[in-house]
Amino acid sequence: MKLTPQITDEMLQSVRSLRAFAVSLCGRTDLADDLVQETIVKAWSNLDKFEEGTNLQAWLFTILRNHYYSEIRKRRREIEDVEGRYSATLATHPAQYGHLDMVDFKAALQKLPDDQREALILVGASGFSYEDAAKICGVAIGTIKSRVNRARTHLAKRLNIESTADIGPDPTAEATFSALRQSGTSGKSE
Amino acid sequence: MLDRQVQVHIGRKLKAVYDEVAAEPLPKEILDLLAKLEGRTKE
Repeated sequence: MKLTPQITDEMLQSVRSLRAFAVSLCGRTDLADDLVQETIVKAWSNLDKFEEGTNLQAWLFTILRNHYYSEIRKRRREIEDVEGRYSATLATHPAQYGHLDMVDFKAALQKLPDDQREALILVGASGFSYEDAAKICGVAIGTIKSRVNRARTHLAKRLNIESTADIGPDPTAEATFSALRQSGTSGKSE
Repeated sequence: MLDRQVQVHIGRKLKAVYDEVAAEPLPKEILDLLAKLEGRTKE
């Protein structure tokens, strides 16, 4: 596979989502930016291994994920060790985020086991099918499904929203829920 | 299994966190690299 305008376009379109995934893996933007750059370079020099007609975005995510686990995670630990010596309480990310609700959610997300977090993000935020997410992580589809379920359950527990009553009023959500109810997903009608 | 509404709630929060990062301007190093890639394509 050669570098065609189409491939370049697809890479350009994927890069923002790729970076968001990188941030979710690294938990910090400096390393995530290194990871994205190294992924682009790797993809570029390995284009001959890309099978035409397959999902380029999934291929890029696979490269990024593998590179994170083989290289970047080590680097992250080293950096965090050094920073830890300066200040045991150094806050690396929450500072800029305004909404308290969102801060809690991000903290809960970071506390998930790596395998559950990545599965949840690939399916729930990056928009991959279970099948593509399974390929990206190198596991069976059933494994991805159960990781996503466990991730949701963990988050709900940590955020104390195990039942609808815990969520609180939210007009947008209410509209969504009533639309869901009207679409007859419960199978009951009057 | 979780309540459907709880699932929807978590899904919306997750997407908001992700999209917030995806909407950030790309750092110069990445933009430079992408420009190089585009330049190479036109050769």
